[in-house]
Amino acid sequence: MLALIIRELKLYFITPVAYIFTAIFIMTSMSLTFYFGNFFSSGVAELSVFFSFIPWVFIFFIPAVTMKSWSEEKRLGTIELLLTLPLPLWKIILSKFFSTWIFVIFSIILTFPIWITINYLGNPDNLIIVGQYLGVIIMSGAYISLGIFFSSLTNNQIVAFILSILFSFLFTISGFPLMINFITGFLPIDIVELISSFSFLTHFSSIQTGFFSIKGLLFFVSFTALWNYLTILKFMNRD
Amino acid sequence: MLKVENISKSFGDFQAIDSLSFEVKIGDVMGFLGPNGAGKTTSMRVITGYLKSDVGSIYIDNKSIETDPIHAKSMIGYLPEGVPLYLDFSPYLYLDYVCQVRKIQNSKKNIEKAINELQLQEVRDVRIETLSKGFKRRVGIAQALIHDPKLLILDEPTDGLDPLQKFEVRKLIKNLSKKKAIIISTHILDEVPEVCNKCLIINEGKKVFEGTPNQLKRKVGKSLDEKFRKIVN
Repeated sequence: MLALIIRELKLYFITPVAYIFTAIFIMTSMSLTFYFGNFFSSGVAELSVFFSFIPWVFIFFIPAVTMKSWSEEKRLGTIELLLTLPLPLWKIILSKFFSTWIFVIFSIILTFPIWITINYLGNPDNLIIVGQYLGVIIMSGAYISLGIFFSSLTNNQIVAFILSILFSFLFTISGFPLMINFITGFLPIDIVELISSFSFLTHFSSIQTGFFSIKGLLFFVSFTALWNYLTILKFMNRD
Repeated sequence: MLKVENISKSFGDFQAIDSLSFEVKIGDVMGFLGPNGAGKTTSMRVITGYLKSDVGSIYIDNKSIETDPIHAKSMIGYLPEGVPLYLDFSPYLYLDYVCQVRKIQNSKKNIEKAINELQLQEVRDVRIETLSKGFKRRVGIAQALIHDPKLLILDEPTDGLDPLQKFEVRKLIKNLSKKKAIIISTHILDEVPEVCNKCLIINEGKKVFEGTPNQLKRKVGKSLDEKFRKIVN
């Protein structure tokens, strides 16, 4: 499994695409924080504003990274070589997930200049910031598992990209007041509560404070496990 | 070495393989023939465990591809149709990855051996994407051979090679056949008597001929192309 993860990481970094994606991710998250988040004028030494924009950036950034994972294997036909290797299917599927996760973690870590900036300007609680970074990393796993599943459905990267954005967006905003008010008009309250319970934003808001709630943590871990399992099921029933 | 027992595979209403059975032993080179759409590629995909058969069994050295896929797959070297490769890798990097994933001891020695046997020295560090069709096919054969498998399944191994390279690959297959069971799918009928000691022809998923190239010659007594047409019709 380690060899597969290393191969995937090499495939990411052997071309300039990974570097471009990482640069775009860093620039977008920084721009949103500095220009739209009133980072300097708030006068508070914390990174909550920065982390509040991350789920919105993930909606586009992570599907761009995951769209290639299975659809490219299907397009090239290398999926046939991969699935005839003497390895259990779950190892092959999870190697895709973990390699993408490592790449995304690498991109998240590269936002460290903002952390240095805030330490230069004030005295933030660095323990909280570490907790917030860990929360973002755990949440990114949920977006990645979703994106990899949609990439497994098609050999067209663009289709995988659009489907992943759509579902990432829906799971992100399902707890958003605007969305809840909209669906409350025509859905029973129990269904509305169920939909909003799947919201990334709702669960992330507890993690965003830097203090992990067991509920939020369990949600993202089980969500990630579920979508990885669905990808395994997809390949178990391949034709 | 390979025992295929009564396998069938359908995609919706389309019956791709219909009750196909055959055996390949160590020392055999079996030519797998049939018109386009006959079910050759599907058969190979089922034998290698890429697809599951609807019914029937496949044993590789007495290991079932269904119930013991890890052991069964470890004995297969496979060159799929169209030679799929990771185009951003160089042949060396790609073969190194195959060695790592197959947990081959002394991987460098195996890589060098495969590179020499397939004459890939001049392109070993060149991106696969930029290689000619012939070189790509040789990289594909190299990855199928690198773990010294007992069963080698090659889908059109000489397609796209020049006459000299074809000769070299055929020579390599003949040499390998002493210790391996080999299945070659090919459209080049003249290749069959030259390389194979067995041949199997399928049409519409069913076996229509199984025997030696000499038996095939005797069956109709004309050119191989004509015999092939007569059998599949």
